[in-house]
Amino acid sequence: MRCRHLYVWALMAAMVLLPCHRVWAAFGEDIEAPKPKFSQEGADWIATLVPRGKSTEIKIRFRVTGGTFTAVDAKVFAPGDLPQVDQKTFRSDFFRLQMTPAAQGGEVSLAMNSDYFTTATELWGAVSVNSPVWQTTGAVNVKNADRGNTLTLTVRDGGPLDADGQADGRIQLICGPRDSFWGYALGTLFIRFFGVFVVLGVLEVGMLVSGRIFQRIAARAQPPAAQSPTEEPPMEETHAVTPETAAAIALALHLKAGAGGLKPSARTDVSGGSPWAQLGRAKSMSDRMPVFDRPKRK
Amino acid sequence: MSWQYVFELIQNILISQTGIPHLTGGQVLMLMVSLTFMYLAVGKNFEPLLLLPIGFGIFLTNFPLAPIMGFTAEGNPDLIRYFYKFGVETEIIPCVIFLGLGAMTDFGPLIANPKTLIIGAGAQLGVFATYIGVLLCGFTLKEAATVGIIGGADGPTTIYLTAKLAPHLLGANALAAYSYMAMVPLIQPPIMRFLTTPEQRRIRMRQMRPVSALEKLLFPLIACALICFLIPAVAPLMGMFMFGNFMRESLVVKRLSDTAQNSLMNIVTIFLGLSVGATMQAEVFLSWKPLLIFGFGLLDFVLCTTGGILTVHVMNLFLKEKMNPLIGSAGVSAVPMSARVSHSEGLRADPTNWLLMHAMGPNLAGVIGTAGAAGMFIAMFR
Repeated sequence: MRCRHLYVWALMAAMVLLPCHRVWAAFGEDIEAPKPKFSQEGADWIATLVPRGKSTEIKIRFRVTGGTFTAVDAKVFAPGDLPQVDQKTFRSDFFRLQMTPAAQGGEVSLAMNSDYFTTATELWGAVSVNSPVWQTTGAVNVKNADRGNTLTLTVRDGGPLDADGQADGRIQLICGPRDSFWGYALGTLFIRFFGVFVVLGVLEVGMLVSGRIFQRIAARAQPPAAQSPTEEPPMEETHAVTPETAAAIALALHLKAGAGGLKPSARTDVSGGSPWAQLGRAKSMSDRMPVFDRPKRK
Repeated sequence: MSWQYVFELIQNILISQTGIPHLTGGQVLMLMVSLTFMYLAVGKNFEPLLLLPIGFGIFLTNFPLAPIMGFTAEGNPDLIRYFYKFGVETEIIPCVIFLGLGAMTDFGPLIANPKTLIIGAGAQLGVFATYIGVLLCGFTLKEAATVGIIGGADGPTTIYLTAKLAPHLLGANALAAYSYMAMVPLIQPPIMRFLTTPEQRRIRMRQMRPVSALEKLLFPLIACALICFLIPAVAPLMGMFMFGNFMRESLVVKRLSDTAQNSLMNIVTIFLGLSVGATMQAEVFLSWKPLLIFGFGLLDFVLCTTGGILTVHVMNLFLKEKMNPLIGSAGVSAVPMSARVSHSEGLRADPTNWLLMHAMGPNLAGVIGTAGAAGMFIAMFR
């Protein structure tokens, strides 16, 4: 009997341990970390990667105006390097973009374009060299005509977004597109839970409609029942058979029909009604069980 | 030949060709775990058709140097790795199992009372709620989805989704799903009693209408078409499920239907059980994650049962003919065990109230609902 309550204890233990998620969050390797591959298409650079929480590849196109790219690669942070940032929210990774402006101390305009970006996507980076606090860079998010969004940002050589902090004719921008992790997780989850109701609701409506049609067809196909009062049994005869006798007859017929070798029901001790009625009921139900007693493979 | 040479030879053989010196504490622990599962299957009759091969798979894979789940020097898979690669990794086995399940299923109770489909949707509450809890514990989005689906109490769907999204959790998820499914008669009754009053447990439901053979025949086609239109991601599972059922209801391919229900099902069950068990190698399995999965799996089952019962309560607010809320717990699939639990709890409240057929409706709806939830997750991470 104690085993019956084991799961209650297990649940309580789980509840107690749940708040310690910060401890557990550290276990295991970051198996979903994106591993972008870079390629060039004319002056543009393209990162191809599988973002966190996705199974298919996406592409991010980088384009610079007012300068040229020197190199584009992924920036890998060690777990402790970004204490104030939850890396999970940067689902398509961090990038290091090295650019050369037209003139020393000049500005370049960077555009990052992807089908994967939404209107909620922000471009985050270290906005100050001296105190590298990560926050939004203020990139403008514009919806594309076809699909996805484009993030546009102006970076000045030696400005706050330039990682080397010097107006030396080279701009190094470390940034990452950021989406609200919990917003996405909870939002999409709610929609999908609701979606299960919608799907099964549509199926229900379909079945109700088809059920009505089938019932109507069946009713039409049935010959009209004979209504002759002479064919009805006399009332006295109907009342002459008690429920117990009826149950006994039903059981006898049932056993004769080939169910004699059945195991007795697990619930023959149920109270209410005569023993005959109970036994008959239990036997008939035991026989119906095997119809649904497919081997326990599920 | 000196004695020293003979000793060196024996030493070399012992070290390089026997497993004894390579046995680790973790492997000993996993061997004990495997014996426990085999005991539960053989001694206690807990889901023996799956726990037995899974237990033996764990047993086999935890012997050091045994070429079971690795790769040969030439890069070819070892024996069970082959089963895993071609059966589970390719997601063939879960779909074939669904084919067999479809061939075994009588959708009559669901067709007669389609309202119960909504209960199957409500019982997915735990799947989505657990997903959030698991995320809080640092699991990834995909891992959280696969742990969440355990509460749907549908083994093949759990395996299908896990193989697709987080194959490294396959062993733990499958084991948790099948273990808790075996424990449905222990887990559900207290929740059912807690969430219902004695009067509600005594509610009698009207005898269901008879369902014609033509309705049963057309159901898999209609249901398959609707589901595939709305959630294409789940078409492999639902397609096989409904195909199996169509074979059954057509009555013209009895041999095929029998094969799908019996021989084919038994064959894939053997390969599935061994493959899943063999993924539980000590070095992979022994971590916090499986323990958390087992904890959350239980929570998941409780929430799914709760979701099903609460859905019936909500539906009763709008229905003229009230439904017995005990059938709500059957919304977690676990066919037919959870329907039996509803039935026996109903009998406990009123020995003349037979709920089995009424509970089969939400039970089958639970199978469709869980597959739907899995499809939602697959689409979400595509």
